[in-house]
Amino acid sequence: MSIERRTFLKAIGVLGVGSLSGCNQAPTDKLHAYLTPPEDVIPGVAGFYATICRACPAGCGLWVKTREARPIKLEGNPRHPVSRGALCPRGQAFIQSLYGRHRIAEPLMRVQDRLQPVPWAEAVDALAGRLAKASSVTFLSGAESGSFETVRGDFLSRFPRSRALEYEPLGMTSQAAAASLLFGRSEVPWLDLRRTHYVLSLGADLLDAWISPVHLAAEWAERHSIQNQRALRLDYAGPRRNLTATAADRWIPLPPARMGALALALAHELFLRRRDSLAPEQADLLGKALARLGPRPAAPPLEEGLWKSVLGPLTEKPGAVILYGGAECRTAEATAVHAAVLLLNLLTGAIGSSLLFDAGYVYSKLHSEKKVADAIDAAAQGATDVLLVHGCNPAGTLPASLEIPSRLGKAATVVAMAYEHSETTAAADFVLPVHHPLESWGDYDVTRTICGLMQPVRAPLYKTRMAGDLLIELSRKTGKPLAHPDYKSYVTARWAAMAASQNSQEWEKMLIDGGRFAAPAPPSRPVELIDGGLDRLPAISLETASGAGCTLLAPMTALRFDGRSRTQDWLWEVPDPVLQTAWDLPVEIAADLARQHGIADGDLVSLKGRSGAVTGLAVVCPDLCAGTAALPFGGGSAPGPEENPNPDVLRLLPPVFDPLSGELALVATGIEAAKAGTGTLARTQASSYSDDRYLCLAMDLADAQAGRYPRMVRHGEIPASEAAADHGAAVPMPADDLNQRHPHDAVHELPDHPEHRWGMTVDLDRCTGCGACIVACYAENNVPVVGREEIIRRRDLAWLRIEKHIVRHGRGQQVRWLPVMCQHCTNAPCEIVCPAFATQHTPEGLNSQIYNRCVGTRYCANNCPYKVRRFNFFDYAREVPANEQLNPDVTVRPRGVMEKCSLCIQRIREVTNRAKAESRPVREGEILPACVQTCPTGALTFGDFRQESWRATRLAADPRGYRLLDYVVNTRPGIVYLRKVNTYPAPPGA
Amino acid sequence: MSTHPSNDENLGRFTYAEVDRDILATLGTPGKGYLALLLLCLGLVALGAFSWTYLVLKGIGVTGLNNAVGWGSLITNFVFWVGIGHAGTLISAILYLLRASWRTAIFRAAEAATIFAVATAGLFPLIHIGRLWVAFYLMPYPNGRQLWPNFRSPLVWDVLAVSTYLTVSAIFFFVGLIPDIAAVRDRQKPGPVKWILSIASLGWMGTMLQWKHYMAAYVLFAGLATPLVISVHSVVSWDFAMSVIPGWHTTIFAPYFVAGAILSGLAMVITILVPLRKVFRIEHIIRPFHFESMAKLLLFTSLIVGYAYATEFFIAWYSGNPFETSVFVYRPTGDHAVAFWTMVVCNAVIPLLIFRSRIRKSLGALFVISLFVNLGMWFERFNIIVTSLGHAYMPSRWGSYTMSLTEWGIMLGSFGWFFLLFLSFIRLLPAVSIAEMKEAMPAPAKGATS
Repeated sequence: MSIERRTFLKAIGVLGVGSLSGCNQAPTDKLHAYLTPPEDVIPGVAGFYATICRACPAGCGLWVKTREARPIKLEGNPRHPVSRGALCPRGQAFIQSLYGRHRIAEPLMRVQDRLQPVPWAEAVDALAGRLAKASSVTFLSGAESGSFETVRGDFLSRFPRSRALEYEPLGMTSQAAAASLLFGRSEVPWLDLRRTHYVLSLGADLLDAWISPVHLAAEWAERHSIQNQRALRLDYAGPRRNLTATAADRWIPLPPARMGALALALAHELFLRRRDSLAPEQADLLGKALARLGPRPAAPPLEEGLWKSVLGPLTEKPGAVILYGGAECRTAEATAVHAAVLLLNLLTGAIGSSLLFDAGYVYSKLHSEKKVADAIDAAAQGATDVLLVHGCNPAGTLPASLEIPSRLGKAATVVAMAYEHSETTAAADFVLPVHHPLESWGDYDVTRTICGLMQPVRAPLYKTRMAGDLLIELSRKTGKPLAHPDYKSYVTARWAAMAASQNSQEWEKMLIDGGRFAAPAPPSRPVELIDGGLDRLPAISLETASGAGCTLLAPMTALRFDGRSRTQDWLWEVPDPVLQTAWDLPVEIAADLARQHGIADGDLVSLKGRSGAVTGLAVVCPDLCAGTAALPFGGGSAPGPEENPNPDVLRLLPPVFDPLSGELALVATGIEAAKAGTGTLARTQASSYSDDRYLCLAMDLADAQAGRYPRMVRHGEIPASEAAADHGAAVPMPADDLNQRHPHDAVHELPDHPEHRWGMTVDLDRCTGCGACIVACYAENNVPVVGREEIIRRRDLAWLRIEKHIVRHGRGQQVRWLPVMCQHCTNAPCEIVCPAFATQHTPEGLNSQIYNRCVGTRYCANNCPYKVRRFNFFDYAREVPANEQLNPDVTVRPRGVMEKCSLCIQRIREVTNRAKAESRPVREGEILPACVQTCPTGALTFGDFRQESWRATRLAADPRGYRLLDYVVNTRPGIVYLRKVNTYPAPPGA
Repeated sequence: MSTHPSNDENLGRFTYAEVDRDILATLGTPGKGYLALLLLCLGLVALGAFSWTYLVLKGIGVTGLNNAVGWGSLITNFVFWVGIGHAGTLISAILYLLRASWRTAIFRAAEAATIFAVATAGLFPLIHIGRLWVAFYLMPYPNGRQLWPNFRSPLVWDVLAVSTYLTVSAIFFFVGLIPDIAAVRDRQKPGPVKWILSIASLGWMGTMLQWKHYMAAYVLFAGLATPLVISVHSVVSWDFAMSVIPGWHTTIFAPYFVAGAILSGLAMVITILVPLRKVFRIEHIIRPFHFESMAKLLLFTSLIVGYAYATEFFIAWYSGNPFETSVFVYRPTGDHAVAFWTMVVCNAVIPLLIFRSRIRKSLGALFVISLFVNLGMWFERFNIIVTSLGHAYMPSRWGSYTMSLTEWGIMLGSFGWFFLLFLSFIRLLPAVSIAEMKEAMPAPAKGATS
């Protein structure tokens, strides 16, 4: 058969069109945000913009990574003195609230008792009409400072009677009240751990979810580190073994009701010892204050040895810091305990060196729960015409017994300015959607000298307005225009006033730096006791009332905080480190209660109090103080994980306030616990016990200081004890020790690493288990969220996990954290068994995974001793617009392929390519995998083990180093763990 | 030729014509019972096909597998069916070379079972992979990127070993069939069936020269197939033994798996033949004597398997390796203790009854024992795979596994598929070798030519 040229071409054309039309091409119209991008937006190159994290009042600095004008990842701003480049898990997940499914897309107005979507003009006009007639306006918000304070003040000044309240569920109002009584300063002092040698924390979970977790964890880690010779020691006394308790040098189990007694006893003791060195007048006042608080207890409230060992560091050197005020210890006598603790700090000399008054700390301005509840009550009774709520959620953070939603319903006009739906927006008359903080201009001063600047990092996703602009517009509509036409002008005007010079470079520099920062200085006027309010000091109750029922604690945890982040899936998917449960918010039950009521792990347990009842899944916690149950904040159903509404502690808390400060008590008594059925807990960890496997190792400080390091164990030898369990890393680095031959190696060639050997060290002595690294990994590597049911089926996709290890420690037990990611073995078991070469060792030492070559036999995951490989059992849904957060540098994996930690190979590639283009070697610190980047304590160090001088290489050669399971499987991992160092030897006994 | 002393008696006395008539009678018009069985198998195959389609469309997540236990019932079924595929070639090749003439009556059916079992097994690696559409990456095929499979991976060895075994078994089976196909052909009226059979019989005329070449070829293939019986399950065992997983990483696996495979294969042959001889009324051809011989072999392999079980525990204790010890404590006491004890009782305890000659000679008892062994051998593989994976190095990641409905569907489908093939075979080709039966007959019968 002969074919003419024309016929051939026609046929080819038709075939070609046919085959192309078969291709199902995804719509590309919105792939890039710009048709003609601005000059500084280069497709494929990430841009970083500095702004402030508004996920809690700590005010960490952010660098927002944007690609093609879309924010995809949050990182800590290294220039910001609070975060210093790191972020907590909630900071990492903050970007999810930008793209979240609970964003409010358009204004809502209550019409016939239902919230209806209305156009902006209508909503603003209607509200302006009401404001024009209003004489009394209350503005309720979260912690705000800087320009927003100004615009709010300007706005409120237009009304005859107005006030602004700032409220945070984790405020320190009792401390401010105590300081006011003692020193005449209603302030929360700025806390600086760089000058102290000892911290005794009474329930202040400073490494977990307290006032500034990233900042405090970083300062603790730096000075507590073995490199700094344990310059700072931390003892934690509290009812719950939380992250701070596990990281502290000692955990002293102490119920909240006994904290006052301990503080008072210590204060009396120190006062006796220090009395003579004080100025007579101050000594008298101190004596008077102490006498008001209570008598000196006849016997110390701790056992003899412990008492002495706590007193020791408090007295031997000045400057020891005593902290109090975590959520799980907040009782109705918090002000009295704070007063005792402040007196203690005065006696140790911490006030003025570590606790700095006059800093203008943002916590100082906060109002108590009682004030907020009263303001809402006033509105409900018609005393307030318009109640504006912005940046806080009173209906979802105050006890249900206060009936905030129904009181808001009774109020004349409630305006909720929010970017997410919440209990408060549901009860409002006007819901005005505002920009997400990442879409807004603004500023946030943590202290007077640490001023953060916020800039929008993307165009608004929805029909929202900046909160400041909204106030300006409302004022204009009511005929009383404000000083500036828009909110950005407020910000620029304020910053222009703050700037040293008035040129535009100065503004740009502040934008790039993310603000202006200087360390808070000690106050000019010394902090002294004054005789103004001492008579009003209440007595600390020394007897623990033993009524019926158990005590309920309402802790705030690193992942849950006060519940405001519950719309962020990552924070549910990542397991709570202490309980190793994901999606569930279990009720923690002390062992004695569990025995008494026959409650076991996973049972449904009902808690009944005077003001309400909840039912939740139980976890039996042997570490919880006797007779105690704990239910962290963050439950409740709207909005949260739809599939599993968690119990809400707010339904149990009675409306009990500290009489002096009005701070809500978060410890409730008289709670009845009972078993109410059985259920299934979504746990990510099967067992925490691995004593004879030598996975999570520690050694004693005395041994480390004396150079007595554990003996190395040969491959195949079974260690006899933890002290002997070690292998490998004591070989000098980096003579490519990872290529050192074993006698066993005759049979297999190990790969060479001619140029780089990427690896990481994990310092278990610094890890607090907070989980920021896990969330960062989800964000960076497009790790899908699988949900509760799939977690129960053990199909979580986390590339990095933090294992909890409960290890025998003398007669007690120690909790240790072990972050486990792909170990990037030189002799990797997974690589040998893959039939398709889908996982390979690269010449740079990485164990790479080639998704499009993966057949999905799962043999590699079976053969991985570390179980770090994760299989895509399904195609996991990614909602619109959450898919805009996906990192374009990382493949989104389809179903049927294996995935695992790549040590952020996309970041390694980016830097090595840039170095190559610039004809220079890679510099140390240029490559930061997402987990390393965000770690507040610097537990993770990434590096090239071929570079002798790099920090990672030097750390890997530390005699504390060991490699996980290497002694038994000879995998030669590229991850080197450094043993935890126990400051105190194990208590003697079995 | 050395024969069993009572061989002649055991084979019975027939003429060539009787042999032809009785064996070829199985190829006659099928009865209602047969059709019902065929329909049942077809239904199961449809269920399996539906389940597999569902799995391909949704993902491996529709199984009970998880990140702790990456292999489950699908690989269990793979190893189970490969194991079933052992008795056939053992009986036809090894026993042929050993001149154990009792094999003549049963080897054809056993061989067919082998091929169908391996063909069933071959589906499971395809079913269990995450991306069926790229399964060809596992085959060494020339390609522009010069990318080959990883020949260090036991899975590639597996592909090669099983496909080689299937090829050689199929050729051996076919060679053995040639004279019988000719016998069927000769009874056919002219037509398309006869035409097909003429081609399939390769022009077999039964001449002396043809017989001479035929016997030489048969010995050759028997010799080729014999090492494969040993190698294929050794290689399958290396899927596990070559890993680093406690409970898998052990040198005993190759002989242990081969013995287990023969045990399960023999059990399956007994399970099939007991009803088969009844239904097709060939009790006089496949006689209790044959079953007794198989039962002795079954007992022997059961003892080996029982010994292997004990050795594993001894070594786990003797090594002092906490990882190994932990798995072997977990197996009899953990989540899957039922699987473990089923395995021990069915494979190592119940077959001991065969020591009693009354039981050995009772077809009913042997049938029941064979069913238990089939069950036990399935659980042996389940036990090895699931408990080792679910209880490996990191206690934090220990896990368990339950079969999902989809997996049940696929497993039932595989049984349907196997028996569908077998039922079709006994209707289309002689289930007992006519030629070898005739060859084995005593001289007087030979005289009475048809």
